[in-house]
Amino acid sequence: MTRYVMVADINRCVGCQTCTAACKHTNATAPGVQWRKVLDFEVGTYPDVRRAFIPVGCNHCLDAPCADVCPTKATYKRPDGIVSIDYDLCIGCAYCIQACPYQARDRVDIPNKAYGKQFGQMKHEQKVPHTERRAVAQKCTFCVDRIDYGTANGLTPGIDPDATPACANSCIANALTFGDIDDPESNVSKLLRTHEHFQMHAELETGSGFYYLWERK
Amino acid sequence: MLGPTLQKRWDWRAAGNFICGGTGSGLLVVAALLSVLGLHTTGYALLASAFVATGLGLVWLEIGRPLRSMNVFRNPATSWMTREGMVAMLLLPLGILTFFTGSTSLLILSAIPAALFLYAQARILHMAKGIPAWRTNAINPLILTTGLTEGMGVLLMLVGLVQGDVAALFSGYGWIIALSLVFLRGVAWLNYRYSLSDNAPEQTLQVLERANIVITLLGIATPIVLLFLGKTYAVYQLPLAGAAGFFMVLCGWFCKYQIIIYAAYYQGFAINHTPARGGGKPGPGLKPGWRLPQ
Repeated sequence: MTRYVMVADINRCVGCQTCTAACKHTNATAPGVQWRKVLDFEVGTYPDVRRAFIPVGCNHCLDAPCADVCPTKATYKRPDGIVSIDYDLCIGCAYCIQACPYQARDRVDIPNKAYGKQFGQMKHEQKVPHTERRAVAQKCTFCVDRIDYGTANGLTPGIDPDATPACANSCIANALTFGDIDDPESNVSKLLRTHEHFQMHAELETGSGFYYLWERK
Repeated sequence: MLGPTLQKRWDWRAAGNFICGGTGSGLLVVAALLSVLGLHTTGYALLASAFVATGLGLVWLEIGRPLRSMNVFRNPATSWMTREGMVAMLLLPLGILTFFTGSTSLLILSAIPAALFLYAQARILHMAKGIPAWRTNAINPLILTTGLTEGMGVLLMLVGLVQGDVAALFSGYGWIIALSLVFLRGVAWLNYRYSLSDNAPEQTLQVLERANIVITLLGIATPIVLLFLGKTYAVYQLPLAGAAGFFMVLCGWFCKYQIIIYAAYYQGFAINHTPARGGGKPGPGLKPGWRLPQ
């Protein structure tokens, strides 16, 4: 079996948002929509203050609450663990948005304009309007088209850039690693063996596919 | 925004489905129950169906792609929204048929999909894992008792339309059922608040705290007093029943509106550890916007 997951080393992440930009560039999400973003946590009070940058997005959960509640089967789980959306089936009821504990989903009825209404849509926005995503649920796909292309052409997702999500490819600190957790020799399996890690909201038992490394073992 | 933010995606139209659907299905169940006790309640079936249809119509107005709405029936295996839609397809024609035939047997039969519809509504909220105010187990008894109490409330408001039903209600078990429903809803509300007391975002708790005084005074205490007065003073039974019913309905709608629109903060984000910086050690985690660490 294969299950693709993302591993984020929070000791490495510097909060540069390059992954955010790469995701927007690759997927042409509407202004205001970020399938991948980096949160800026600040803990404590001066002088004992800590800062943490936490990449977030769809966790591609094993037991995905969004897929369970979806009345149309538009949200479904692929055999490789990726949670996908069939935009043509989705009715835009937004139930999946309420079911996701990671706030990873959006519904855009009328896309915002990047520089306000008076300037209209930018030329690049006009070129990739993605009308199929209008008024339906949308979220991170783990750049599924790249993975499908890669696996169809003998490439290894997480190793070969052409088969790896844009966010992981672009990370300047190598904080994001993508791979198959069911393969014990994969890059992500090795990282999880050698580091202490946690999953966000593990108490909700979603089987999150997004792991955060916080200390070397 | 790291802390829990208020959901904006389900607005008054979604709340309207839970309000109208709960009242309509509750009305059908209560009407069926009271018909067994000898009251003439088949006439309420049409109103109940109208309530449910209005609720579903409001949802239809809210979805992003209304022309694809038939796709809602595609996932009965796991989705309570699909199941709600399916039982509604049984409930609505049965309710209308009951009204036109005046058959008590049909009324009792239509109470079955009505009860399932109400249960499905409760489970829809329960399965929304992203919103702590909805996902608690205690939402199920709250939505069930609230729907039934609203149904009873509507029935009390209209009970004067059928000759002899007011007296029958107060002389038989009808008023005990009404009283029990108000009491049970009160218990369910307390249980709901208790279940969230250390398990919800701070802002959710503040909303529920503010709503508590209204629900306790107008939704629990007032109908109980009015029903007891109705039992004691036979001359004023009709207005007292109507007033009790009004508060039972009003409070149910208020309660649901608060829970769906104002208390529905998302889970927010949390980390179990903060990273090591420089030569330091990793630090403690953080869960912004929550009263107690989980």
